[in-house]
Amino acid sequence: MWIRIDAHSGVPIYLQVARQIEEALTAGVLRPGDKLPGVRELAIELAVNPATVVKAYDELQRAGLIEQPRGRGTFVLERPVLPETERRLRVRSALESLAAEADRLGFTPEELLQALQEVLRQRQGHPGEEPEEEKPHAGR
Amino acid sequence: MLAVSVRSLSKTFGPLTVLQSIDLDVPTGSIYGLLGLNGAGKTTLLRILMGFLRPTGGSGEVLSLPLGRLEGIDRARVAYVPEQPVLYSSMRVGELLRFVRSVHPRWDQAAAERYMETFRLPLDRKVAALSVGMRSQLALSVALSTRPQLLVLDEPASGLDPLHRRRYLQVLLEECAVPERTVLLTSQDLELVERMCDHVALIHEGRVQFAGPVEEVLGREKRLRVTAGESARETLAALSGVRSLRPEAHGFLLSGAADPSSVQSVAGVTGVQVFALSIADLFWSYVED
Repeated sequence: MWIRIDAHSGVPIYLQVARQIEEALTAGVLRPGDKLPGVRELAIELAVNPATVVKAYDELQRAGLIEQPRGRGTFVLERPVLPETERRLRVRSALESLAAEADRLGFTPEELLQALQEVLRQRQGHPGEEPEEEKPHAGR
Repeated sequence: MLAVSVRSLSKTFGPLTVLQSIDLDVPTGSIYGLLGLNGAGKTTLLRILMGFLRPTGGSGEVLSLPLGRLEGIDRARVAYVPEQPVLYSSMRVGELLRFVRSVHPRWDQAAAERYMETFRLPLDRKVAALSVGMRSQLALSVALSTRPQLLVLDEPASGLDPLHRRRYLQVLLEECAVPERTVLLTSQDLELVERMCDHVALIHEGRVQFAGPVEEVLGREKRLRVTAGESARETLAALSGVRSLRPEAHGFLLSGAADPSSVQSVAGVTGVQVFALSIADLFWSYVED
């Protein structure tokens, strides 16, 4: 698996690994049922401590993206099932950055709510479509 | 279980104090990185652990034996690779391996041959004619072939080109990321330590400044960007856990274990941004501040 590690980026290595696997899932490079490399195998390939890969896999499991049945390996899950707290946390953090951005741009809370309602209405009109205004990092 | 443990260890050379008071515990099975600037005393510490130097004060154990008592078959359970490995340079690689095999009680010939293949080291080449990278790889191969319980590496992989370095680190991980083997290494290479080590310590000004599992060490300290007026300075500096406070354009950069909410509640503070630290950040915050 091709994963780029930048030990100087300030982002912990386990998060870099987890995020890039998550991106591979989103991009369809990895599909449901695919087996991920074993912990030792991936650690040696990337030249990182195996504990780092364990942590990355645990993170992905917590996010409901993979499963690690004991002794059988690591597999990509059919459909991401997020725990309720994680689900709330993600929306919350997306909303917080949205609120901060709106504040910087001088929106009043009323204007922001109005804009949000408009987006939600549009989505209801076209279910399944990604609204164009959505920021690329929303939902992470 | 600890592979290495030292308490209040000190070492002076005449008027020069290199190690003031070192406390260090290296758990069995860890890959332990010792950081420090040139002259911090890392190599001196390793040489004391190996029994080449006698400490001026303090005590310690290596593989449960008191310092200086590592002899014979016990000594054979420890492999030490100095920064400039002493290899018999007039021998050919194959001769060198046969020689160590004849004198070392724990030698694993099959492993030695495997490493020669992995590193593509030519058995018929004189050691003196090997490149720097190949010589490092040979030294690591010899050390690993003695199946050490404790592997002590002084500045491993330093001066290697990216390809030799990568293979070196991969073999090191493959052979050492196992519960029964402990690696204690020193390095100036923050990236290497960040990648390879599960435990880390910084020796600075004769003492261990921080030590422990990487996650724990990084979890203890944060960097906070505090937006505040000059008036908040004294209160901030006096907060518990604050190790350094550097002025910035509209506030301060605070390093340490301070609680963000208590920082937030200081009069005059209008904003707090919390940054997680990497090993490199932590290293710099100790040696620069």
